[in-house]
Amino acid sequence: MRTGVEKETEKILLENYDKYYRLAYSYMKTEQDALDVVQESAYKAIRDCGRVKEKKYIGTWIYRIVVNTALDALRRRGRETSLEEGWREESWQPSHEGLELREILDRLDEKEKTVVVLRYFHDLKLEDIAKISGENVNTVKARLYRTLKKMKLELEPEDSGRR
Amino acid sequence: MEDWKRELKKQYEEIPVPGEARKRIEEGIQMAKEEKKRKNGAVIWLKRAGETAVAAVAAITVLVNVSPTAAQAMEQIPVIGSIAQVVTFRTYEDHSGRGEANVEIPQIEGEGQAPAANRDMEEYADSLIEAYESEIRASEGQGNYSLDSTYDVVFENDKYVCIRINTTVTMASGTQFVKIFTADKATGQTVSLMELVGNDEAMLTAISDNIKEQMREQMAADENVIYFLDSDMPDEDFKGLDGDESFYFSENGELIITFGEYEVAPGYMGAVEFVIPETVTGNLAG
Repeated sequence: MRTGVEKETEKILLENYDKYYRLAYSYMKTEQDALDVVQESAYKAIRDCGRVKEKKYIGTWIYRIVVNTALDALRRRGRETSLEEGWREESWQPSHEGLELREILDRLDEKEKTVVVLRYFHDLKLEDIAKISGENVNTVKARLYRTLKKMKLELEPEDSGRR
Repeated sequence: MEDWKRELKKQYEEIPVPGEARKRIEEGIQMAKEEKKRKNGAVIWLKRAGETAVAAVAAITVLVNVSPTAAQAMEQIPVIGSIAQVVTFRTYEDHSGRGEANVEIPQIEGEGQAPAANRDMEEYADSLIEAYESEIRASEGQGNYSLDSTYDVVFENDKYVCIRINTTVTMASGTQFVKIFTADKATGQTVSLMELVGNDEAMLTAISDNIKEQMREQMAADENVIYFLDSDMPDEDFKGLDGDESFYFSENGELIITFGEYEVAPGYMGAVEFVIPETVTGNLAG
């Protein structure tokens, strides 16, 4: 039973490593920090997977670990240093003109970022996002709509100018 | 989906994923598996510690036969003196590449014979060091890893001395572990929570229920407080104590149960503890 859960956890981790990396990267903004978060998340997932009794929860549960590990890392780093926060990789330079994901992510706070990234880029359901952030569905839903409104307001002038 | 959302998603999916990402996932998995193996090892070791206790008793018996005065003296001298001397027995330090370790290993100075609890504490420290060293080896200089472990004496009376080991393992963020060794001064042995309550399952359940009650009260009073209890993911919820949890006593002798980070609450709550009223436990501290 237990090893079944561990095997499943390992399988999900290995199959979706790119997703976890991108999620971690959207918080950490640097490759090294995102890699650290991804490793620590995998470690915690295998270490604690005995607590997940039903396999269908594992996927959501790993997302939750990645989000919490990234937020913890940011919090601790914030306490230790006053690094100028910015996207350091030049390798990721969107070829498009106009809206820039990096700029938009920078304008969102952690909670807004979590809900937008998980809902639109990872296609998760609101119920699952609520479990990941440890809040109730209505709170998450309200935040998503508020954040979308905010994003639209910031995007629109640019948008209409382009079209 | 509206255009701009699609556009952003496309950009998100263009975030390059380094080849190392998969390797680091594998490393994390490996570390956890090794740690799990070590935990199984600890159970075997505790059984061996039992044998040592028998050996100590045997030694005392020999003394009894040899000298009646020695026998009298032995009877009255507890293994640990009334004011326990807790000193740093050994310090492990490492500063290699991106690794950094600092581990203080405590020991209780016994009266004559060494308290068995010392071996438990040393064994615990060794398992931390071993995990650190194997991680440094495995990572080949990639990734940061640091280990910091200190101790303090959190309670002492005539009967018990409680030594708390505070450990922080840092990879990307960090995890705080708390482990408390409570030594019975008369025997020098480590006392588990289960032993403290006299193997009374009902008492353990009563303590668990009290903890759940306290969790619910705190969550109701402050929305920022979250415990793994009554959540949407019941499988992850705190079910109850198993008798191996760390504990110590308050100044008034109330039992305090401690949990490491992530054990019963999300990471941001840190390590948490619960004071159990004497109405639930009676007098356990002696």
